[in-house]
Formats: sequence, structure tokens, C-alpha cells
Amino acid sequence: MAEIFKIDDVDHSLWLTARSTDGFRLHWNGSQIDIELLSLQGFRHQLRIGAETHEAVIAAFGDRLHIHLDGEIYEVDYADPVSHYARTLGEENADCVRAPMPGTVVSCVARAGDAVVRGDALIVIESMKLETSIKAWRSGTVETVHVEAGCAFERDALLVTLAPVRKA
Amino acid sequence: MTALGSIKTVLVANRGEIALRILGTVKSLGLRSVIIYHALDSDSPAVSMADEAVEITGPTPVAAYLDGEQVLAVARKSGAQAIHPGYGFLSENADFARKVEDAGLIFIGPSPETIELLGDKIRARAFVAAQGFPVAPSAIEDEDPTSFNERARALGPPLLIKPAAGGGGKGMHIVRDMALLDETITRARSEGQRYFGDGRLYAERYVERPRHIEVQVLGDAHGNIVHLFERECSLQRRFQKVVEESPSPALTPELRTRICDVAVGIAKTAGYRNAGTVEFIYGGGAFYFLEMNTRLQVEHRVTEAVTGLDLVREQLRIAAGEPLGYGQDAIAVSGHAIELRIYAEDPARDFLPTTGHVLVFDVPCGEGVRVDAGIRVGQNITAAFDPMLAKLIVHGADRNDAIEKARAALRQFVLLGFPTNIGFLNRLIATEEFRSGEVHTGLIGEKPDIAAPPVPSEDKLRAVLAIAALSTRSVVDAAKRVPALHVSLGAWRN
Amino acid sequence: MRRLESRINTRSQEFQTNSVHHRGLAAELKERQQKARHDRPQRDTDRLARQNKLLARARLEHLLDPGTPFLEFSSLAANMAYNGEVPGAGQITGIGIVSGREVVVHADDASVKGGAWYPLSVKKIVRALDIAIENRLPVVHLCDSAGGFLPLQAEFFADRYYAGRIFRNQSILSKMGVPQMALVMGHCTAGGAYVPALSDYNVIVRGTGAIFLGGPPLVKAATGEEVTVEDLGGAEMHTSVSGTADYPASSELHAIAIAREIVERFERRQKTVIDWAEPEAPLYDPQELYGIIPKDQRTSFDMREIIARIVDGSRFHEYQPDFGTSLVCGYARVHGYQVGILANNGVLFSDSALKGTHFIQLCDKNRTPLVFLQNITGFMVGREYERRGITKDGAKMIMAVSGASVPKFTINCNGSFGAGTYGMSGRAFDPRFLFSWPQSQISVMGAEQAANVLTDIKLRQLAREGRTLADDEIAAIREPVLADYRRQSSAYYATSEVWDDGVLDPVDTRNALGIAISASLNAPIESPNYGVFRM
Repeated sequence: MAEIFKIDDVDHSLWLTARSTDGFRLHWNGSQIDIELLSLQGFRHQLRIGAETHEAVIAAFGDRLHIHLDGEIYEVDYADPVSHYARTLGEENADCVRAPMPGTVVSCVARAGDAVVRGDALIVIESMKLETSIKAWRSGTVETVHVEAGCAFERDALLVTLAPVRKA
Repeated sequence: MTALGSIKTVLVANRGEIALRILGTVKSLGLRSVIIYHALDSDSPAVSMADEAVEITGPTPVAAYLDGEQVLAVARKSGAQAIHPGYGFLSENADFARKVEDAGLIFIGPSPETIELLGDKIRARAFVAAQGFPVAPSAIEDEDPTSFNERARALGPPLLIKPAAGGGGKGMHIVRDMALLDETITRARSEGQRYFGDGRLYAERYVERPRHIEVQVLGDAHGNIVHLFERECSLQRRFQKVVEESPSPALTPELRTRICDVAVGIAKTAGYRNAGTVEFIYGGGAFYFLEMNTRLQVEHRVTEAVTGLDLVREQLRIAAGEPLGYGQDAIAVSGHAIELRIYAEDPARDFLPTTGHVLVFDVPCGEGVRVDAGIRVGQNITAAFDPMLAKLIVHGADRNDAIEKARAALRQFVLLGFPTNIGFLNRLIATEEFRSGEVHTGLIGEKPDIAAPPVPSEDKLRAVLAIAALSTRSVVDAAKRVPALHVSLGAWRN
Repeated sequence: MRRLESRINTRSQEFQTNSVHHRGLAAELKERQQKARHDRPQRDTDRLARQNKLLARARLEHLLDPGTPFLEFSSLAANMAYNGEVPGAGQITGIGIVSGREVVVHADDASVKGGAWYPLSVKKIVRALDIAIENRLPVVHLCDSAGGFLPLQAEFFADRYYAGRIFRNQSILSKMGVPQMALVMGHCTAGGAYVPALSDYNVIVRGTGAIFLGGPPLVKAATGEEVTVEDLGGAEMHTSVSGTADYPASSELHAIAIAREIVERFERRQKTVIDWAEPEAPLYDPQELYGIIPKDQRTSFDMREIIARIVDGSRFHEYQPDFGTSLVCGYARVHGYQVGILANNGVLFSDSALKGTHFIQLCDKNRTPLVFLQNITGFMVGREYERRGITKDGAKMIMAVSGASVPKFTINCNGSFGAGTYGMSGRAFDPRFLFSWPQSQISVMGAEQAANVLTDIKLRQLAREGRTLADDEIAAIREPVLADYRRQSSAYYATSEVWDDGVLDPVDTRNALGIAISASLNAPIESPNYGVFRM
């Protein structure tokens, strides 16, 4: 499985093989080339690619790389394969959340029409003497809150629906 | 401790790059410095540079810097004799200037009356026109609110609807299709109310492909006024300046003299004191007074580069009561300077403001290259404040030299952590139009193709991907995990 | 170590003739493999596309680390069975690299009869798992099968090494601490359901993956219950209700990405260390292998010429060079690994049998893997030889081969007949891997010899009845026997029956051995220990 890097919303597929001496071989776009990255000072590095040498400044923040190379700046995101393939095929785009177990609704935090971001509390439920906050699993707009404070529900009952994500 | 007249301590009531810039001169004069800061700015370079730093609070970060009472309290408590307001925030707030003077402190800028007169764009316009200086045909709402729409319509297209209390290019609308005039007026009014607390408007004939040319003036408390020549600020986006230069490539020596003389004339008639800028619209051989800014401007460094003067030093001297000490003939322009404003914005996404942490900040250096920045590595850039991060000012022997210096400096400018307009600036000053000096305020809007970076060449992309792959731990580890034998066999199949 | 000196004239007529012939055989092999691996009826590929399924080979390519080799086993299994309608027996097996680990991959090929298990499919799977057990290799199963091919159940169900052996092998692998994982990318029905169930980890694809002991039709027939595939054994149910499946995946690529992450977690045990040096390419060009073996399978040639084009630097340290000369024994390296080679230059005599026995023991004590290059018609027969003990000497060799603890690797280069097959570590003697070259033959005796013997028997029988036969009548008896023998002793027949782990282009042997040896070192090497050598 190749590795995927995104630049400006475009996926680029590549892989590395190790060379017996130091360094690696980059396989991309149907060609291969020997590459090596040396750390100079601080964020400054030297890239050896084929017969060429380039100086680059590289800073990483999580899975995002900020690169200054030959007078231009690039932002490159690494997409780890499991998340990448889960995401591209809609794994995280489910539209509704169901009750994990039977219980009662303590309070409804969100209302229909509210814009929420991932992690925002939607409703608070209580079950087996434990209060749980049901949080938004993705960003979006609340379409319907199917329950109200005080009502009881069974396992798998529909709790909150977010407006479907429009696929580009 | 050194003193400048009665000024021993100066309070800098601002933030970011301008605070740092002002502090630089304050310190070089041997004066004591105090700075106010909001918690979000606690790790900014200006805060560490000042002799004393006092935290201020507010319902929003911007509100804190707009809180005149709080600023005054800090000034009193810290024993500052003078307050430098920088630009934006309280710098053109006549009320605040008055309160400062009432408190027995020195407001580094013009008098409250001057600020009031010139701060109200409609009053200022009327004043300048009355003195016989050129202004663009216009319709002022105040004169007769009921007939405003009609009078505006009578100006004919194209026209500009502007908020009376506005500034800095906010809340302005161009109308070319008169059918949209009424709704545009309504919208501009509500924006004026929202941004400036004042919904009054005026309409002005719009000059197509106008050039924005401004003249820097300095006046002391003794009636002496000089100009420091002009700056061309035509490269704008949504009425915000992006690139400024001096001298203007559009002006003949004769025109230059005329515009500068008009500027001095306006300043004299207004009894102007301290630093100020007279802005003009220039097009089709004619120029019209636009507005006068009663403060130090963002782009003042361009004037400093070509004239050799330190404007903040002159402001402090003037505020301390010193006479200018030199006349107009002592001021000359040498070489050519260009300033490029570095913004935290993404040109590829319609210039939306960007946020993030400053991971790397390496500025270009060299002869004729200076960077004014109020940020440091590790700083968290949020949407709380204006997205301007830094100014790159280059000074060359002539315009082409300055452009080359600017291009090289932009390429060496390493600011990593979030998208900026650095690449866009380089593409902008590389255009034929900029090189030939054929700029106007609508130019950036006419070139949407340079907003987004060009698709990288295959070689560039390969290099970037090589760097990305080698910098990603899991990719490197995956390659290293394969046993040597299998690496040597490659993708062999039987 | 000294280099072998080649005595072949690569410009001779003979060399050219052989070369053309063997290149032709190699080309034929490539073509037959290409067809077996890729030619599929349009309606089968269409059906898979409609079901949103990737072809098995595409799944394999995504699973393996890019830029790494894959040693495939028995691509031509079942090529001479079932009317040729079940290429590769509908299975893909082999050794590849996944997340840096050497693993055995076993994939159902749903583009062949829906991935149904024919008798030879079962045999191929059992063989792959035997390889995993013997070499302690983790296994990745890519499951997508229609189930057992019921019309032939008598040939794959009840016996010891039939289908049950798959699940027994899985359990033993687990018992040994060798991890397995399964990707359920289609149906796992009946016995097939145990593949993911017996794997340490499994991933199931939503919408296409399903696990059930009986599918909806069988359930309906058995109890009258009506239930959908999804409800009966789909991803949702098994990952959240029954716990039979571990990870739900939204697509095949998602499943494969998860699988690779799982394999990355497998313990990387210390491999057995044997003598190794920096690898060196053979001095002589391996392409010359085509010109060395004579076109006529019965003509002899010097095995040293073969060795010189397989081993590192063409270096070979020959053992007992002047004794038992019909068996060449010696040390060499293949991709750096030191190996002990036994290669036939003629029939086995007592002296060569004893030499071989002794050399096997030397290698065993030395922890040196053994490579058998077969070109053997058998042991010498005759009064003189029997008196000298050829039978017991052959027995000694067989005892040594059977008892050797070091990994053994066998290549049938040209022919493997009779007891020669045994002494030279044929299939029954558990070489870790066994491959055939395209021209090679394997049978109890050569086709000609067998035809002669059988014809002779027939003639004598008729003679007792007082009958003789004309030439053409003799031919009528002889020819079918000859043809039958030839067919059933060909490399393609052997590989069809999964008597070997695949037919190799001679030029691929070096790399195949390298991968095989590396894989074998995942298992420990026991101490040498033999039965009784009849002295």
C-alpha cells in the first residue's frame, strides 16, 4: 500500500525503499530516485535528490509539514492509510447517533438548526446512574433532536440527526 | 535618565510590529518605555522589549486596546509623560486625545481638534474643498439626507459609497450599475453602523483604475510644515494596502511638486501638528483629495528609507515641543523603496485569514532589506487581531533594483506554520504591470490567476514529496523495516 | 572460496540449441502463468466489479509492501485438472513482505468459480499452512469464497489431509504462537467460516464480507428461517453483537490498511542466525542456464555449470571432489547465506550415497541449510552393486535426509526418478520448499523405461500364451503408456497436483532460494538427531 501525502487537496501516492548504504529511494509517478535528508542546523536541512542538492527549511506540526524550498513555501499533510481510506469512503460521515444503551435524557444542549463542531455536546443522557454527554462526532448542522429532557429510550433509539454532508 | 523636553517615559498604546518599531526609537533616544498588552500578546517581542509591561483586559482582545480609560490609568500609574497611540485603535480617537491632554499628558500626534476635523471624512472633505484644494465630485448625505440617493445617482457611474466615520478602506462600495445603487446605499449604511457606530455616508465619483498616492507631512508646534514626498499605495485588495513604494512611478517631477505642495497647503491650513498623511486619488492626469490620516501610517518606513529620517523620532521631538529644525530643501529622496505587507491569509482560498503557531521565522537580511515584525517563533496567531504579521521594506538604487531586492528577500523569507501571502507578493511584483509601474487600485482584483500558487513542476513536486517522505517517521520506519534481502530484490515476482 | 571454472563453450552449436529450447520453455511457462493468473471470463470480472470487489491480485498488491518481492507458490496448480477451468486452483499463495514482516499470504481468488474450494484448492491451502508451520511464518488470509465445491466433496472432505487439515493447521499455528490474521472480503461459509474464526485477528468489509456456518439458503432449508446475508453474518452483526469479527472496514482498501497496521504489531522474533556474508552476484551470467541443460532430457551434463550460475560469485568449495563423483557436494552461498549443495552428475552409487550421507551430517552439525539440485534417474542396479550394499547405502542416505534438522530446499532441475527422488530429498522428505524446472520430469521410473518394462511384461505374458506381436501392435501397446507417462511425469502435471511449490524459470531460482532460505530462518534449527544407519 503506497503512502499518501496531500498538497492543496491533491493526493500524491509514493513509497520509499531503503538503500543498503544510508539513504532511501523515492518511488513516485512511475520513476525512482535516490534521496537523502541531512539535518544542518535548527530547522534547516539539506535534501539530496539524484545528483542535485537543495536547502530546505522544514517544520512539522502533528501530521502537517511546512516546507520552505527554493524560495517557495509548501504545506504537506500525511494521510495515514487507515484514516485515509476510512475517510474517503464515508466511514466518518454517518448522519445520526443512536443510544448505546437504554436510559433517560437529562438535557438537550443542541437544538435543530445549531451549527456544531466535532466534540460539541449535543444531549446529556443518564443510564445505570451514570451521566454521559453525547458529543458531535463530526462538524455539521443539527437537523433533528429526536428526544427531549425527561424522556426514556431503548438501546439503539435514534437520538440526534445531523444534516447529511453534501459530497463534492 | 534621558529626557526629551519633559518626556522621560513614553507609553506605547499599541501591539505587534508597530509597538516594537516605536519602542525601538524610544529606546534609542534613551527614554523609558511602558507597554500595554492583552494576555494573547503576552509573549510578543514588544512586551519583552519594553521597560515595563502592564496587562490590560476587555470583553474582546481588540476591545482592550480600544479602552481609553484603561490606557490612561496605566499611563498615570506608570508615570509616563507621553502616549504614542501607533496606528489604528485609539490613534484617531479625538475623545481619547482630549482626555490625554486633560490628564496633563502628551498625546503624540495632532491636537484633538485637528483629529476631529480631519477624522470626520465629510467635514474634512468640505474643509479641503472650501480651501480651494481639488476634491472629487461628491454627494454628502448630511447636507440633505432625503435627497442623498438622488444626488448620488446624479453623480453618475461609477461611484463610490463611503462611510463618513470610516477609514482604512472598510465599508466602501463601488457602484457601476445604477440599478444596484439603492440597495448598496442601504447595505453601506448598516455596515457603517456596525463597524464605526455611525451610519452616515457620502458618495464620490469613482476614478477608474485610480492610483492611490499619498504625501507624508510633518508639522511642529511652531507652525513649520514640511512634506517628505509621496508614497504610491495603489496595490490594494478590498481597499486594504498590500504594496507601497516611494517615489511613485506615475508622477512627473512637475506633478510631484504640485501634489506635495497641495498636501503641505492642506496641512498648513489645518494648523497640523506632528506626523500626518494626505491621501489623493490620481487618475487620468487629475488628482483629488481623498482623506487625511492624522497618525503614523503602516507604510511610513518607505518614506524613512528614501529620505533617511526617523519619523517616530520626529514625532517624539515634535511632541516634546522641539521645532523641526530643518526646511523643505533639506529633504530629498534617494533611491527607491518598496514595502510589502506580509499577512496571515491564504490567497488560494480567497485570502481568508489563517491561524496557527509560528513554527519558523527567519527573515531575510542584507543591505537595503529590513523587516518590521511583531511576532516571534512559537507565537499563536489567532483571529483576534488584524492578520498583518510583518512588513518587508527594501531600498534599492532605483525601482528595478528595489524590485529585484524585494523578490530575492521574499524568497528568503521563511515563515512557517500557516499560509501567508508571501508567495503571492512575489508573483504580484513579478507581473508585467508592476514592473512597468502601471499599477492601480483594481489591479490585484483583475489578476485572479496569480492568487493561487502555480501548480508545481514535476521536479519541484518530487523534491517536496521527497522531503515530506523523509520527514515522516512512519514512512521512513516502514522502509527500514523491510529486510535487506527483500530490498535488494525489489518488486521481483516469479 | 574458490570460484568454479566453467568449461562450457557458450558459442557452441549445442549451447545455442539448448538455449533456444529452454528459453522457449521458459517463455511457455511465463505464458501459461500469465493466463492462469489473469485470464478470466468477462462475466466473472464483471460480477466482481458490480459487487465492488477488487480482484484477488489487486488486493495482494495493496497488502504487500510496495517495492518488495513476492514468491508465489503453485501458480499452475490444477492446470491439468477440472478441464483447466480452475486456474491456480482458485487460490493465490506465497511468501511476501507485509509491514516489513515475512508472511505467508493465502488468498481466495473469487474470479475463479467464485473462489470455490476444489480438492486441489484445499491441497494448496493446506500446503501453504504447512509452510507457515514449518517455517514459523505469520499468515494473512484474504477470504472470499463460495465454499467447498460439493460435487467433488469425496476428494476434499473426509481424509486426514483434506479440508479439516486447514483448520487443524490454523490451530497449531496459533498454539505455536505464530500469528494469523484474516480479511473477510467476501463470504466465509461453512468450513470457510473457521478461517477468520481461528485467526488471531480478523477484519471484515461492510457490505461484502460475511461469516456464517450456513448461508441463507441452507438456513432456510434446515429450519425454515428466512434471514438476509447481512443480518445472518454481516460486518455490523459480527463486530458489534457476536464479537466473531474484530474490525469493521468500510471498503477493501480500508480493510487492507487496517490489516497492515495489525501485522505491524506482530512480534518480530529473533530469526535463527546462520553463517552469512555480504551477497555477490554469480560471476557467470545466470542467463547461460538456458544453454547448459541439454535439449534431450536424457543427456547428461555437469551440475557444476548449473551451480556456477546460481551461487554468489560462482564460488564453490567442493567436498570429496575425487570420491563418489556422481554426486557433487560442496559449500556455497546464495544471497549471502552459506548452504550445502548436493547435485547429481549421474546415477547414485554406493560411494556417492555414502558421500551424500556424510555431507548431510556435516551440514547438519554445521547449521548449514541443504540445497538439493536433482537430476537423478535412480540408484545403480546390478549384482555387483547389490553385493556391495547399494540398497543399504541408499537407505543410509534416506535416513540422513529424513533426519536432517537444517532446512532443506529441493529443485528438480531435469529429472527425479525412483529412489533417487527419496535420497535427494523429494516431497516426502519435507524440504521446506520444492520447485521444478520446466523440462523436469518426476515419476517412479523414466517414461521410456516404464514403457519398455510394461511392454516387455505384456509381451512375455502373451508369449506364455503362445502369441507374438507385430511391430505396430507393439507400438500400439507402447505408445499410450509412453504418452501417459510423459504427461503424468511432466513438471506441469506435478505442479498441477501440487507435488511441488511451483515451476520456476531456471533464472529465477537464485532469488527464489534467497527468499526461501530467509523465510526458513524464522523457525529454530533443532539439534542433529538421526535414526539408525544400516552400516
